Amino acid sequence: MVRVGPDTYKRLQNDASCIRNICIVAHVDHGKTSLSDSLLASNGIISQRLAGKIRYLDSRPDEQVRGITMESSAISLYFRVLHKQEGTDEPLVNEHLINLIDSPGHIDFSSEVSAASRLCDGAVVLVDVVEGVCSQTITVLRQCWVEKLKPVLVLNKIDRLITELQMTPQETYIHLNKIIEQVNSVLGSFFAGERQLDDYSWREKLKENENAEFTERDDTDIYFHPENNNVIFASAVDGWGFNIGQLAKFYEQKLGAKRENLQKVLWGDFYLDPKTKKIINNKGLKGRNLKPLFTSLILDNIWKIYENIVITRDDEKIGKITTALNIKLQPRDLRSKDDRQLLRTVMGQWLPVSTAVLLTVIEKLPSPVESQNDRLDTILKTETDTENVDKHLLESMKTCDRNGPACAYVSKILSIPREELPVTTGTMSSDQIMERSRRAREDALNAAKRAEMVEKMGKLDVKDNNADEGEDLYTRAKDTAFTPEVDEKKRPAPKMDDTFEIVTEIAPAMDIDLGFEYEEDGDEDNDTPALDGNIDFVPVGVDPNDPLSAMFEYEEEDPLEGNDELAAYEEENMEDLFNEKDEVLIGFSRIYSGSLEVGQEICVLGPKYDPKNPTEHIQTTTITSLYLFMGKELVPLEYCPAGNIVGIGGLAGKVLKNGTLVEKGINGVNLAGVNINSTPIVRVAVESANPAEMGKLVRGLKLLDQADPCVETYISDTGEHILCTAGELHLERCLNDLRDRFAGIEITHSEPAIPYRETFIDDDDMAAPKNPNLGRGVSESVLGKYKMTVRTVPMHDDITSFLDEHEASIKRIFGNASESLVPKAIEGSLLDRSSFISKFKEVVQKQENLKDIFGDNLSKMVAFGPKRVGCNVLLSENDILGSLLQKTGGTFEFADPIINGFLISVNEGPLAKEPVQGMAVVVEDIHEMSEDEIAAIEDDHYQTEIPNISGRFINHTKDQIHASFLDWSPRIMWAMYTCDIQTSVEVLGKVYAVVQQRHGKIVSEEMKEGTPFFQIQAEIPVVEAFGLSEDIRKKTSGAAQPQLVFSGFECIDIDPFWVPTTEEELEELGDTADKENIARRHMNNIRRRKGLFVDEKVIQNAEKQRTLKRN
Amino acid sequence: MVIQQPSGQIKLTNVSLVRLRKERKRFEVACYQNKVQDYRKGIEKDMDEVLQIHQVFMNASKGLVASKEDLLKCFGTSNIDDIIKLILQKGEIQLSEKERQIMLNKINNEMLTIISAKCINPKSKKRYPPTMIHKALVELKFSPVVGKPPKLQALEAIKLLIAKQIIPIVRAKMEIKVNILKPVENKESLEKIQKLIIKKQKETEVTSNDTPYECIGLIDPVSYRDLVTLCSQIGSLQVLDMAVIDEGNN
Repeated sequence: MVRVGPDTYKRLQNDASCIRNICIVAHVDHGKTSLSDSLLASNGIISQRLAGKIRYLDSRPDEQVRGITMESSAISLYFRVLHKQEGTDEPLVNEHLINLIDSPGHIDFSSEVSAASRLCDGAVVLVDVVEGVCSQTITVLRQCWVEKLKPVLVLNKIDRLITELQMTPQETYIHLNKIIEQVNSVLGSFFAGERQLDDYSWREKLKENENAEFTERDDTDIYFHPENNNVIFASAVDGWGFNIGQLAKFYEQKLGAKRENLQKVLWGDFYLDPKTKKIINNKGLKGRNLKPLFTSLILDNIWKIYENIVITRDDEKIGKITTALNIKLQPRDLRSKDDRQLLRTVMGQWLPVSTAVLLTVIEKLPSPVESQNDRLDTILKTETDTENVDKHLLESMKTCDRNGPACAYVSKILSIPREELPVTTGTMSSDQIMERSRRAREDALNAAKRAEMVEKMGKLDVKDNNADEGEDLYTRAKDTAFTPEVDEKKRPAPKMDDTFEIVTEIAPAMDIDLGFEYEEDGDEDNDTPALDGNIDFVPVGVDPNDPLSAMFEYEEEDPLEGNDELAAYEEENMEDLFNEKDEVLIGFSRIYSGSLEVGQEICVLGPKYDPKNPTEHIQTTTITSLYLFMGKELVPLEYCPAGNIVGIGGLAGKVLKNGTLVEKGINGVNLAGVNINSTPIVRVAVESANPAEMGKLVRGLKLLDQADPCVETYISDTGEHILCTAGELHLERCLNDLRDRFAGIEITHSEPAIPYRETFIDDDDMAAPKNPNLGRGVSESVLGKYKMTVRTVPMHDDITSFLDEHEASIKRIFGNASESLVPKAIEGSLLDRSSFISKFKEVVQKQENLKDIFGDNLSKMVAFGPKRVGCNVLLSENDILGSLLQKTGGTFEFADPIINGFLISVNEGPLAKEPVQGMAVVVEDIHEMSEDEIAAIEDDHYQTEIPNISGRFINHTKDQIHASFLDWSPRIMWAMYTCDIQTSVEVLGKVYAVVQQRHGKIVSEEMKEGTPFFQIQAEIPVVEAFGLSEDIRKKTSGAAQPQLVFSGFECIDIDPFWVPTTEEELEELGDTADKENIARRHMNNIRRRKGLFVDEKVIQNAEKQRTLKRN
Repeated sequence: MVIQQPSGQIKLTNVSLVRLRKERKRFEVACYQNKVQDYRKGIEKDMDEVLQIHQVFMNASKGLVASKEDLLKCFGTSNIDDIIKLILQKGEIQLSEKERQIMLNKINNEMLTIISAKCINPKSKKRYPPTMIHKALVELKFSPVVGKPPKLQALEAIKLLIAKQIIPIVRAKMEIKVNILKPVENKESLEKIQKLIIKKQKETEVTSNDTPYECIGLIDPVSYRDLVTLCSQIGSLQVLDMAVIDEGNN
């Protein structure tokens, strides 16, 4: 067993040119995780046999059950390419360290993809050949484009074309061609958009400066061309894949043609003339019906294998094929009833997918050194001002200099259960590591099995005869779990009794590969480290062993890297921060320059950091630990240089979601200002099922908020804990996380309570005023010996919005609150007293009928409401209640209770006890009644002396204001969202339908410059927005994506008390008004929620009740 | 002897009786279920939707119709309509299932809203949503009853909640402003008042009788009554905020 020693490993990390940071991105269910399984298998982390089945990187149980990835996970792979060297017998060994990030495909988790793409230099884009280019494929391609990631295309699931769609090789060729064209057209549209923008800015420049030159950009290198080796044809589930370069190498011998030439003709319209044995193009075809080379040489052969193994099994032919391809099959493999397994064995030896992908990655994707040079500008794009940044730092970031000042970007914080963390007690034996890795593997397998079982159980229910089969499958699954034949090669049988041996004995011995190397390599241009024909993957050779084995070795971590001091450090620090928790926060980060070391002190720059003010948003912390990601395992490191992806401990509490780490004393650059594509839009209120456990939930929410960049949590005014997530599925994951990890308690979630407002307007078809003598909105009442006249007047939107905006100013100018309560941040924007008054006067003057009411210099103003600030005003004639501006007390004895009554009346409106807005209340007159007046009161028992009259005044004023309020045409106002929807033209109609269905209205719709998208702005009531995002996504199959922002309140333009009265209305609607009154529905809903009186019949029709008591 | 013929029988189903005792006689009206409450609240105006049959009975289940004399004697009128209206308004009814359910729901909701408005979480200084309080009350096996006013029940529930502390909960403080004109003279009451105010935000020094004493502060709502009586003679008491709740966004 070969193991790479710690020295090799460190050397690899240190040499940035050997590192590739890649992420696998694709639409949901296009096979990302299966592909990464194959790659893991090549490193011996899981068995070849299980690759594509156990989805090792889906470490969460819910991921396994649902079969989709929800969290991106990283793993480091070791990959070795052997080159023959001129003149010596020693091969040139090119080793590579590949940091692979498997990202989720579902749209809810696109934030994970953005986070991952930030860390990587290249991307492997997968496309399912059956489904073609999907909405998320376009999204990830755009992400790559924006982040300037170099992509490699993998056309996955070709096996489905054979077995499911039963295409012929020729059809397949055309189909694949079409898909590549689709992908390229997407890229082309990005390019066209950018070019348009360039063109636009060039024209702008041209106006200012005649000499501006338009620089035409070349777009040829952005497209995918199989002949350029940046397209891989694969079937991850069956474990095979290839690119044209590899096959060119394979056929070089058979056809005797030059490899370089072959590579050019293997894809595209090139044919082999059967007579002349020459390769001809379209012109030479002369009407003959020949198959392109790709079909005849490649696809036909694959089809043949599938036909003979999976479709109709023919052992004789299998034998022939295997000898032709020089694949060694064990008799056991042939005996096995599992055709798929045999297929995997054959194809996996002939065209292993891991080699294809990893070679392409190494060849086509840039190393951190190259990419940081190119991408630095993109990374810093958000940073307009780089002058204040340390020049030295920028330089070393460009060159990925590991000796330069340290700079790293933390893209997210992972929360990891403490027990999964490696024990950093320094003396961990290799046994322990193996033990852990074995356990991890078993865990994943068990989870997969469980998922499978669940599925099977489902089937069992349907058909009982399936029971046997299910049982069989299960035992087989069990078998595979413990089968020791991890390798397909002949080797001394592994010891069955020792589990460690079984799982770790994976990579073949080193001596074997050396023996087989450089057999038949013609050309000798060995200096380029790329895949250049020198790599030996031609299985025609004499070597009995699998040639691939030469290229991979099992990577094992150095177990002795732990550090006593570090352990102590961590223990202490963690204890300190998260005393009772068993979750540890690890920063998922990419080092751009310099190196990080355990124990190093480092500055943390918050997302708001600006190099201009280098003292703000900056904190110092100590790195307590560094980890290498190996799936869900973490391997401790002591030191990590630039270009790597690493987990950093000790950032808890310092970095909330993302941030930048910079060496102490250096003016850093803020890398954290990333554009995160999706903002949280699904809001729910969460509660613990057991009220006593609320504290745990609060803490859990805090943790979740840190761990997920796309989650927002806050407490609403009503005291509900609101959790905002990116989508329904994301919500489910968050709830699961809360339940199982962060809070560990049962929780429930519900729609959050939605605020409303009440107001009234001057409407034409109002009923006549209740008291025609006094006029609209005026009410008179008596209490004790007093008679009070109150008038209400609606205020215009201008006034209410002005009052709303300057709430903080009002608080400061008139409030009792001391100055210190006003947050410092908004201090500057506050108005001072005189400017507020003059501005307010200006606004008031605009409304004709208010001029007099407010009096000169607003002298009649008494108070704002409901909280002594707000959108309602109390005024009084003749200083009855005093004046706010002059700070005089009221002349009336009970002025204070009346003011209190006003405050309560606007805090709890008459419609549904929701706050009122836009009401001006004028106390016109209060006077002691004369004898005559008292005598005029009809009530015989009228009391002029009332005990505790001041208390009575509060309620009385409230009722009177409400009565006068209802004299106008009342309205319910509902909270609105402004909703931005970006959509493609095809689904425009569907978006409109959804918005309309939810009582929303479209505000604007415009074409986005340089893209084929429309930007729609709409307003949607908050009540109707629950489930909107899911609805839009579903109806448009993911092509449109809404973003919601709270925008304020808007009137529902109907009186909640309105019933048809005129003849026409009655004729049209009937006396019960069949058409629903939306305002009334909402009003009644709130009232019901609050337990207020609802004007609705318990039973509509007395006769139609059920007679029976029960059921 | 009366022979009852099947053809003359009217069978009533879904009957809900409204009874009124007057002058030792029992009068009954046969109504539909779930309707009498609506009628009394004025939601249901159609009498035919309420009444099963336009008659006043002595014993409805036996079909005993009240005689004219009895009606005249007891109600002072023989107008059936007026009598029925009177019985519907004043008679005793038995709540049917749906009505009871709705009433209970209404009282429960109102009570929860009141509690939610009056109490806060002392840690976060925020309100509890009604759902949370409901859960806590269920835990405490506190269930509302139909007969009592919701506000009273809310106060009881608050007492229970605070005593048991299933969730950390206290009553929200009231913000008040006290004005005492001649502080030195009323030193005794003043001291008592000062004791009741928990947290003083603004207070004037007590020096002489000329400068009135003014204090803005927080009090426990329980002590509001005492404060009112204390202040009534010697000064004024003003409520600035019924329940101080942190409305900030964090």
